[in-house]
Amino acid sequence: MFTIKEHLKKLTSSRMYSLRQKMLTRTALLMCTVLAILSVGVWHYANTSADYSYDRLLSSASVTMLDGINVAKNKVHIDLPYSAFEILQLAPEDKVYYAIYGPNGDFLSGYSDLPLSPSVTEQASTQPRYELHFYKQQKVRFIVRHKRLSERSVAGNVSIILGQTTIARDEQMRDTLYAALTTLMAVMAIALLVMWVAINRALSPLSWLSSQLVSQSPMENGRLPATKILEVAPLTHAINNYRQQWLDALVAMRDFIADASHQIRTAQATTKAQLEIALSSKNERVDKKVVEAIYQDHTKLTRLTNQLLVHATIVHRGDHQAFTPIDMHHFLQDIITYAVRDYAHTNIEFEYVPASENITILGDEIVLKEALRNVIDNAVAHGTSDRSTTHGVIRISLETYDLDCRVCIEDNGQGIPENQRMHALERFVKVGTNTQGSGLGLAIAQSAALSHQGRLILSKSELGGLAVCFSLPRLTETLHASSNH
Amino acid sequence: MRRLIISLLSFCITSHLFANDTVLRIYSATDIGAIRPMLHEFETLYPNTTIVYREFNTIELFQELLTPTLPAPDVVISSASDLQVKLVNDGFAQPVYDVPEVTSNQPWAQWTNELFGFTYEPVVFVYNKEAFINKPIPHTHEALAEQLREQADFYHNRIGTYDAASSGLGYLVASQDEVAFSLTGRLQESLGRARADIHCCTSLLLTRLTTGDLVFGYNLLGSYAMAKAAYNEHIGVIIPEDYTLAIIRSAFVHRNAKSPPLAAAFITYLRSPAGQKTIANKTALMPLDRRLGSHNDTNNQLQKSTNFHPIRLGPELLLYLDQHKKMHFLNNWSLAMDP
Repeated sequence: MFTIKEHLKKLTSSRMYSLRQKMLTRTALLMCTVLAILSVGVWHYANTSADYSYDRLLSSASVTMLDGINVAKNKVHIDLPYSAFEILQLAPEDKVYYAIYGPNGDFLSGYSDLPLSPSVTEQASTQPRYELHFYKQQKVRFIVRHKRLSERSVAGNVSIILGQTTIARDEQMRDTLYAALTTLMAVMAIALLVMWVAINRALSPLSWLSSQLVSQSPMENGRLPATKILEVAPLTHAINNYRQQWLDALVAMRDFIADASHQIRTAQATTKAQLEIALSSKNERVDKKVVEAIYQDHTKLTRLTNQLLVHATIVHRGDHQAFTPIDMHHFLQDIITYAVRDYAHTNIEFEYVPASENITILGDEIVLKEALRNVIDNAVAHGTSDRSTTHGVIRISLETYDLDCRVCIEDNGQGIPENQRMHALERFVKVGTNTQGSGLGLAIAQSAALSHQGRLILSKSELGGLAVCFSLPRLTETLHASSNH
Repeated sequence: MRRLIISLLSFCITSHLFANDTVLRIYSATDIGAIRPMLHEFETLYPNTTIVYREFNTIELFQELLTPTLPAPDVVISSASDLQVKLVNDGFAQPVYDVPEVTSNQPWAQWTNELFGFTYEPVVFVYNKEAFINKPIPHTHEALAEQLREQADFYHNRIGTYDAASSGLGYLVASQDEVAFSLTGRLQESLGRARADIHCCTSLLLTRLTTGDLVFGYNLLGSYAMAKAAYNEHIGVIIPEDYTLAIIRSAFVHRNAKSPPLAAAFITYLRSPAGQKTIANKTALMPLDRRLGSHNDTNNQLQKSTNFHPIRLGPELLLYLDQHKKMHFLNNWSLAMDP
């Protein structure tokens, strides 16, 4: 009992197990169950068929015996034929008992103490009746059969009760049973063997895969060898894909680090050069112009560093996005409030065109905020740089489409020529006469849009300058509900 | 292991016990003179065994078993196979296992594992040699029927046969004759017309044949006839050439046997090579193992390729024991014998 419990515990515990063993054990158990059920069936069949064949012996012997019962000299005349007993000889080991009853149920011949007797009501036309009884301490199968005598002197049914012990019958039953069981067991054994081979065969791609994966370094750009197994192909494909994404991300990171270090080093070198020039000057006093230049360079460096960090944050936050529903109206109002405050010292006018309805999107507030600020900064920087005389206008609008919403930031500056717009989205690319920017603003915006399953669209604004639009998927009611859930 | 040892021990004890003073009670329809050598040999094989042997006529034996007046026997022996089969069928026997086959191809010499045959005794014609000097001796049933018809005077009152009505063996032989030979009815009528002498026992018929009172004996038990003929020059034995019935003397262990192991041992002995050899060489009986022959078979007639027709031990022998069947048969037989 204890061991069974322990065994069950072992089975139910969550430790590692062999799939092969489990499948084999379960198959074996299933087959044992099937075998048990089939055995009952086979037992029944063996019994029925043995009864069937030996009942026929009894039946034909009893018919033959009835042939010897006739009417002669106004009496029932019994002259049992030898052939009846020769038929019964087909079961040579079995003992034979019989009794013959006359029309009025009177005993005529044979054994008078048989455990059954013919009923008077039974008709000669009815099927013979078979019964199993214990007689003289043995199982005896009896048949009761009738014959109609219709002479004037003797009219009525004579009945014969013929019994035979069941030695041959039982033996045939056992033979059938054992033969069938042996066949069944052989079939089951073969089935188990086939199962074993099949399981091994089915599991072999798994070991092949693991050996392939073990032998390769994850950093290598090697793909798994193509497989001909239809069921395994999706797995290798998925592994290859997965690996490729990692490798791509790794390459992107490497490039970014190279670019970033180059940019930062260049900026630092410039600052350092300015400082060296200032130090090498013979003047005891530092020229204010030089300090200003150094300040300019330092500002650029700071901005570049910030932007790089923001960019890195956006790109890598994608790995573990914490998306929450954002009410765009309030969100944009906050952004504009900050922007107005930040640029209070400039003569830039901010416009806000809200949407006609409430819009909610699922997004990362920090990322979006960073991206929008960068675009606004850009707009401030470029939209107004060369038109210092006229005041700049920045329009922030929110529009809705069927499934998307569109946040556009437009300025009345020069804009970007159409052929350079795509180029402008790349990192560290500065378009036009701009020298102040880091070349990262639009790249950050692009990354943010992509991480929200959206797009960044550059176009020409009605105000004359550049229109930068974030197209972001809206949160519909059902999505909203499920996200709450 | 322990259990095995204990059972072995107990076996030793019981075998020791019955070796000490055990009585083997045999009720038999066999002349004590014919079976004595075997009883002696068995006693030497199983010393300290006392054999109580009681001789019966076949029908007396049957009646005794049905309504016992004596203590139950251990072994029952009879040559009336039909009565033996009837007794076994009615549950008077108990099974015995591991009894050896005498020879292969003799499935008819055993029924289930209860009734075991151990002799093979042909049913023969016996004739008075002097009476048949310069006369053709009938060697087939058909020839006999013909001679009875053609030489009715010669055979008149001088042919004898078994009494089917009073002797169990006589009934068996007569009824099996009917099964085996289609002209039996005619032969019986011929016997009746010749006023055949009807006797209960082979020995009486043999005596009358020796003295010349009878010239021909029909359907006599071959074992006794040959034993007599081997030492008596007056009579000769004919094994019919067309067909010869063979009676299987059989034995079973009674269901109420006092010492069944000893009874089984006796039956095993009867069918063992030693027992069969003793039957062949020292008794008037004839062994079931026909390769051994018989020391009484001076002309080696048993070895001839006669059409032997052994009466199979089996339930079909019950047929002629059916009350109505028997009545009919005996009626017809009496009518034929006493026209």
